[in-house]
Amino acid sequence: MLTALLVGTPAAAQLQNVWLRAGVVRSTRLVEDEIASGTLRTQLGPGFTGAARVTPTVGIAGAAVYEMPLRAGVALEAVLGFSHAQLNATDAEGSRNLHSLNALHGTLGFRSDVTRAVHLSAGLGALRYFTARRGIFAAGSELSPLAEAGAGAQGRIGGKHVQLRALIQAHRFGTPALRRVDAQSGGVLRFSVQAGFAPWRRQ
Amino acid sequence: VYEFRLLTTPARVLRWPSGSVIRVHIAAGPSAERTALLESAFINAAARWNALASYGEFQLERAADARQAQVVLSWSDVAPPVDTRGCPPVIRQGVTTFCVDFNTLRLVPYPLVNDPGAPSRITMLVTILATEASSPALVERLVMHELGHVLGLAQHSPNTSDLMWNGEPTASAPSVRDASTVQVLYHVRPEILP
Repeated sequence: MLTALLVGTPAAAQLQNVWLRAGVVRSTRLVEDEIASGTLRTQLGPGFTGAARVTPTVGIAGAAVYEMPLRAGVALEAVLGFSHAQLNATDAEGSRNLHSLNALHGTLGFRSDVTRAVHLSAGLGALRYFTARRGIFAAGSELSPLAEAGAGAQGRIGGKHVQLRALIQAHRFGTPALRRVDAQSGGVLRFSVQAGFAPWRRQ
Repeated sequence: VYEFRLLTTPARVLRWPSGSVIRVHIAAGPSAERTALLESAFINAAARWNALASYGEFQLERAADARQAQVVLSWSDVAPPVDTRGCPPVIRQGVTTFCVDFNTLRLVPYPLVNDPGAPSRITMLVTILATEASSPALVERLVMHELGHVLGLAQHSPNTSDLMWNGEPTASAPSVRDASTVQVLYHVRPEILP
């Protein structure tokens, strides 16, 4: 069944396509740590400086997208994406760069044309962060389920097929190091705008 | 979380400003083996503590040059590269020594022996009893425990399973309680700065 889906019809096979996209990504905070319980905060008094937050900076993002038309106006999309940003911690004493943060994600989804130039997309997959084994990543990271939705436009510039895609991704975030101190996993949103082209598409 | 404030009157929070890189100079021992033992104990201890700085609050690093260091780690039978006459260590299994200037609420720097006129940044001495060198595992635990004091854990834990317990340390790594305590310490305003 999967084989049939991926191979598609002979006509569709001719329109199988690969897009290469690059752009920027912005993420909501990964961690908000209250540091101390309510009782302890009371004991510590006004000297307690409060919570710490960990947020990735605006980063670069890229993706390779395999696209296969299923029927008129609908295509299957398999995406392998990458992002690179810096991880910042902020508390009452300021903001500090911790280390770089790389992420790889893969999704399988659909693209549906709204008009000839405008399309919507949605996909499901997984994401994993790769970074220094320090701080909240001291005990490594793990695969998180990921949902993605997007809207885009495509056309031709100078005879090349080009695409602009705005994406929103949602995933759970937790690490073994955070769980060791009884932290709860939370949700993270990633917003990305990417421009791409289809290097091997001729028609 | 156990009490971490320095027992002054009143008790005060002693710690490095958040984001500090705390450079530790390892004084050469009487033999290459003794120096290597202290070095490996420091590397292991620093890695254990640094892993607990979840939000980049501190980082322990080795300083090859005493002039770049804020802390000196040495054996008790070796003269450290600073003049300790104004604030001498009291030799025990392991001890962290510093003296507070209560006018400025800062630690008093130790003058450099080889360069007494030069500004010194060394405000803490960690001394390990030379006779403990026969037990490398204990030296590792002692260095790790003393680095907890360097970070600002100025009191001991009442729990024997904690690295910062007030006795010969049996834990080979900071416990969850040690980790929580140092995390809270670095989110309480410091009143004495090294």
